[in-house]
Amino acid sequence: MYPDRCMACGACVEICPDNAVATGPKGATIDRKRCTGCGECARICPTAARELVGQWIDLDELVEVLLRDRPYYTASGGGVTLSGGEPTVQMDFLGALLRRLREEEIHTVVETSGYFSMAAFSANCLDHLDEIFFDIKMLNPDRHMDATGRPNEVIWRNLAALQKLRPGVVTPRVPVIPGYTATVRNLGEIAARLKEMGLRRYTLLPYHPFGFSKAKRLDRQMPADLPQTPMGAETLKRWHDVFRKGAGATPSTADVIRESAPAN
Amino acid sequence: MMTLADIGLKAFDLERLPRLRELRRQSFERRPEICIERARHITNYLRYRDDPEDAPEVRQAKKVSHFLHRKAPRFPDRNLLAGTTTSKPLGAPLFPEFFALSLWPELETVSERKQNPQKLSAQDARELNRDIFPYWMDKSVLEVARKRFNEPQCIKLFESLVFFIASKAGCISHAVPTYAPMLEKGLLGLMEEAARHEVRASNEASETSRRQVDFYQALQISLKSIIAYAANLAEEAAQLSAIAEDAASRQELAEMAAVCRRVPANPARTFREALNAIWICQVGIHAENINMAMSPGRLDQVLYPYYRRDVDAGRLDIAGAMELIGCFWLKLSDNVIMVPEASEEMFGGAGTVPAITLGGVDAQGNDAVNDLTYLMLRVTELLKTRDPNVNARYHYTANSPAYRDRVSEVIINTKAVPAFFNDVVNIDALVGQGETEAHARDYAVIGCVELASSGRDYPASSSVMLNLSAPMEMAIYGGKRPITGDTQIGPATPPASAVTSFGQFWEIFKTQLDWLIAQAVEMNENLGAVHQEMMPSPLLSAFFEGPMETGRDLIQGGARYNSSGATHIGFADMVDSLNAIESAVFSEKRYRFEELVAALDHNFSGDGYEAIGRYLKHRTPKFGTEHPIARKNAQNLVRHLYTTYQSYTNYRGGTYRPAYWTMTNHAGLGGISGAMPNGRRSGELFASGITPVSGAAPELHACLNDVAALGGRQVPGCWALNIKYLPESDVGAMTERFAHTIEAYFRQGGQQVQFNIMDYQMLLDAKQNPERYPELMVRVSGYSAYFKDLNEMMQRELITRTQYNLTTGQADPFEGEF
Repeated sequence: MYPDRCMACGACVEICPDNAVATGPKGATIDRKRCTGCGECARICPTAARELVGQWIDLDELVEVLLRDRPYYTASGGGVTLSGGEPTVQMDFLGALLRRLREEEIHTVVETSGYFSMAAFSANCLDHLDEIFFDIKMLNPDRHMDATGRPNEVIWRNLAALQKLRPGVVTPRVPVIPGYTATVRNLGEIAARLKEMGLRRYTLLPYHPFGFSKAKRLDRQMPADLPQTPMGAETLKRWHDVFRKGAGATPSTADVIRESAPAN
Repeated sequence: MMTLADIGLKAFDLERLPRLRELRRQSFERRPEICIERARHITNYLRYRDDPEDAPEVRQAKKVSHFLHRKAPRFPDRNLLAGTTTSKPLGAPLFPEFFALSLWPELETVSERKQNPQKLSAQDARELNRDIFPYWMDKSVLEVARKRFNEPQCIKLFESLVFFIASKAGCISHAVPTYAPMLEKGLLGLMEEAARHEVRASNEASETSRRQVDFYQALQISLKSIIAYAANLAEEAAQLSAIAEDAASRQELAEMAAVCRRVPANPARTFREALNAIWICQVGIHAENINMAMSPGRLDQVLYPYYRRDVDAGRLDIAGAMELIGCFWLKLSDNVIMVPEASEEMFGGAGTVPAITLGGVDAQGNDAVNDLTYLMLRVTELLKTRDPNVNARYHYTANSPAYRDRVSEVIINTKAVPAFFNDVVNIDALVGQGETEAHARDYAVIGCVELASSGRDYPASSSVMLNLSAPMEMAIYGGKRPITGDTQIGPATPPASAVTSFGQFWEIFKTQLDWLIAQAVEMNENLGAVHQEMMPSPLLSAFFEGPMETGRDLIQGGARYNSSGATHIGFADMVDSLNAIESAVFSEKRYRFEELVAALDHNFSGDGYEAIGRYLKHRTPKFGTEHPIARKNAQNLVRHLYTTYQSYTNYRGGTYRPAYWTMTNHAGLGGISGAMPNGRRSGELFASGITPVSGAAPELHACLNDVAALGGRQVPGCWALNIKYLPESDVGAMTERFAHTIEAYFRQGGQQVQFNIMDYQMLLDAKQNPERYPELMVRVSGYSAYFKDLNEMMQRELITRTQYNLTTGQADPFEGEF
């Protein structure tokens, strides 16, 4: 829902088969418990204030759309990155798509949270992709569970398996999120573990606040402790230093680096 | 040939070129002044000396010669090249043959008006009022056409300005002469050739040969008068040298005197002589033809032999060559057009758009990029001036990626220039017009974006500017338009309520469009006939292939290739309007056609109409999103315009070539056009050139792909695609992505693209605080302007243009407030 686009015409209220939409003083509101995601309101909305996230598309059509940009892949030496959400949620489709792109000789990358069935991934996808960007958030299983609601053992196991099955294809990526992953201890632990596993390449992803506007459109709350501004290059650089010290990192007095605090 | 160690020439900046730095500073301080010198002399000639028995070419030559002999030699600054377009440092010459009389009611206000004042002294205003303008009352091209053709409907349509603009009432110009023969033979050599032809023709006793004799005589009179002007420059320079106070000035002026005694009468020997010869000839051309888009063309090719010879002989180094190039660039921008207040809306802020074309391939199809190409790119990067309009050709198999990347870097650094042209598609487009492969490969850009084989192609590329919203409205309202009330204008086609399918509506739209094109063509033909009688171009003809051999003036079809150009305003808005009607009325059946028309009548305001407007704007297929309906309608429209125009033959024996560039007319015409079926409200801007509607194409690649899909033989007049990129701090990384995107767009068929590297916030700030941005240069639609000079509408258009983030490939939504 994009409230600033809504002109309160009421078309969505009328058409909703589940009586999930109502108009208020600030435009249409939606009762997400009743909403079945049928998309009727998005279809009828004259201003595109209501939007259904995602669309139904079959393999041939998607491949056709992706191939339109082939000249850009050629010119830049790039290709197709399959991201999300989480692409491995649709493992069969992902595998079929990767196979088709491989036939077209297009370079592919999969971005994943790493939380998937390794058996299904290696059966469907692993042989048909060129690179995997693999998110690593935390080493400590309890804290991972607290932050994401999912255990991380399977993630680390999958990372190890991928490194074994197709060495060099997987690049771990660590999102640096203040208050969550961004602690000296967590990053130090991750760095040490990756080193043990022989994974020398890694990427640190600086925090960005894009989630806020998305949460608002979905009527959800963001944790109050997350900053509203993106992480600066300076701060990221210092987290890089932390990471690089890796296993040998001496415990710092402060566990957290504050945005734009002067470097000590 | 490439010998430079660093093609970026980073070591050469304005610190090292103090003359250019100073000349540039002066050029930004100058305010335009109206120069009446030409108007005075030609009026005197016509009033007292003209012989109506003379052939039109001879009359024109004598008129121009009378002026050039009397034109004052001026040296307003320390530019190393001699010659000025007008008597003022930054002057607007007057061409009473065209629209100069529109200044008449504004003689007292033009100096002081708010938007882009042009200074006119009280004395000059008096002379115009008493002596000059009264003579021209019924003698302009338009008035003669009105009388001759007995006020036809096409003139009325033109004068209402909301259907089409017939540019010939204001100029033809818009051409790329070739200066290579002049440099090799000198004007004296060309005159000798003409004299030989004259003798041959005078020995034959036919009507044709009699007219040829007239033409050859006119050509010689014209060239002789350029030599006379050069002689006056030489004499003045010598005198100024004698009284100059410092040694450096004495030396410079003495050198200029020597150069002007040598060229353009005789063959040029040095790079400097060649540049000054070209400049003096360009001044001469503007004594005859109005200063609009007279484009010097491929100077990196024409001048290269002179540059190479001087460098090899040790007479010239890189800094010296750059200084001369910079002097030439600044000379090209020493003039503006006279713009009356009434025209500010349509043309405000424009320069005179002399286009320089760099790079590309040679006649054999090989890489033509040379050292001079890079010197000229560097000068362009340093000067950042509105004129000349610099364009870079790029052939993706023949030219090097290093060249492509360097052009990209210059665009990012200047934020606006040069524009990029795709050699592969543009050459093919000209071959499709019957030009030989070798000639097509020698194309150069005219004015905004139009293409012409250098010195062979006389395309009058700005003949018609057609407002596509006019046939759209006439199709909806049965041949009438809300703006012209109940008058039946076009054919009486069925009203919207009677239309039962999109196919039927498309036929109706084409009926109205074809009728309007016929009117615009008739108007152009009428004006062309008047030009043949009143405004032949024997002087310009000397710099073309064809007239010398055939003994025919350019205006009589003497050039090797002939055509007339027709450009279109509101392309993307009309494609989206077709899409909206097709999808909302006929395929989705969401609204009945009458409902849509009622919403248009109410400008999408009030009960229910607002929702219709928003739906049309946000929920119907848009050009620039790769939607199949949008792509089909865009392709159908381009194809239809191409076939229709090509079916006409003009008064010079050439065809009409469609194009898609709009100068500032998309803002001006948008301001006076009613609501459109794409959800655009009355008075809102149209999209520029061939660019998708602002905000309608959220993905960069989809936008480029949709445009590129239209490229090729059906767009022989080329197009202007405006893309705005969010600036990035890492220029190196941005250059790489920038260049790759160009490469892919060209390989898909894109013909041209030009950029503004600036964001919403900065442009909003520049609008509110113009004093902070005195030199901010922006791309309009095919040319550059200083942002502060643009009118309110045009500033808005630039601010709200879709801004893409090159890293994500997505558009940033515009959320600013005016």
